[in-house]
Amino acid sequence: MLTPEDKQRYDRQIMIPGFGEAGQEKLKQAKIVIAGSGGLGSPSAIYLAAAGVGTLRIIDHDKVELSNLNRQVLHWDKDIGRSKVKSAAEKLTQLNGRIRVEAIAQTINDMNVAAMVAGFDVIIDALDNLPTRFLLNKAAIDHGIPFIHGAVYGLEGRAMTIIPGQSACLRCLYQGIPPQEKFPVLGTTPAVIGCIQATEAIKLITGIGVPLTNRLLIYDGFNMKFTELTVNRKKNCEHCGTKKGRQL
Amino acid sequence: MSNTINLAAYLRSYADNKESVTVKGKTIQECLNYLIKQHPGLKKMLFDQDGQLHNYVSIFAANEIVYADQMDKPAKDGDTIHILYIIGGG
Repeated sequence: MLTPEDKQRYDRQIMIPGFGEAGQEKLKQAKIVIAGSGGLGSPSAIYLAAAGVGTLRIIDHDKVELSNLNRQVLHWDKDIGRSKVKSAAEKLTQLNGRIRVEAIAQTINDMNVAAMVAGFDVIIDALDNLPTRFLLNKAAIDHGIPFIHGAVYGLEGRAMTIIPGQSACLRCLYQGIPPQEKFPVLGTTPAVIGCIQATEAIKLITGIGVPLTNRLLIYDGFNMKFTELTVNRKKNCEHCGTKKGRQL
Repeated sequence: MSNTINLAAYLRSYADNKESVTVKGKTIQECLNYLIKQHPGLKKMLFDQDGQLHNYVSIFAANEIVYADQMDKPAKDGDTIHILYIIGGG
């Protein structure tokens, strides 16, 4: 139930056609996992907190380093050496004290991934490595939880929304993993993509708009343009295809 | 017959920092071969030692994915081919 203060706080988004107080109530009841509180996770978390998502679970095992601060805007100079999730929870609860923030300083692995996401409404993929992205993609499909992918390199970013059983998944798009390397990134790139991920999450929860499903959105900051590529479900996808006994 | 190949930002440094390259070929494979002739540094980024497309590279033609076993798919004149190299930074 929205309080008078909620109605005032979220007035400008409640005004959006199709959003209304019902949409705000859905956000208040929503539970979102944000896997990673770095370059992508920071803007996603900030805008989801500001929008009034009732519960945010932030998962990240890292500590804040000086080299994070060009892009990971939830973490400041004073936080160097602190747990990222504690740093993130502190800022997010200061931004919006009416939401619940769960800070989980753990590494996501195949043993704990199910417990990390069970019971949540949306998963934001704000990770910095591909093996865990695929692990989370599979867990999202297995648990029927919408999964919002985002990734960056330099001034390029990509985003795609995955609705299990309905749309193409990350594994339909990519089948393998190259050797891991340190990646370059301008802070504004994950800012753009993280905000797209937060927008997608809000749309899914409130039921407004058209989701970014079966479409890979590519942001090219060098040339300042967006490209959209169609991604259809792969029939024999290892994660979501008929190989797993699922119907396309 | 000519097609444009658009390169993901990650791959441009292997193609003189070009965003796109004009190629010729009747199939997707022939178009990629043409690309590699012009920019040999791309070969190791796209293909393994056996000439198979790396499983972390995605090819799109006419706005649809072309999987590794579909490289003999015809390239229609004027179609844009996109080459994506998986990125995972966050």
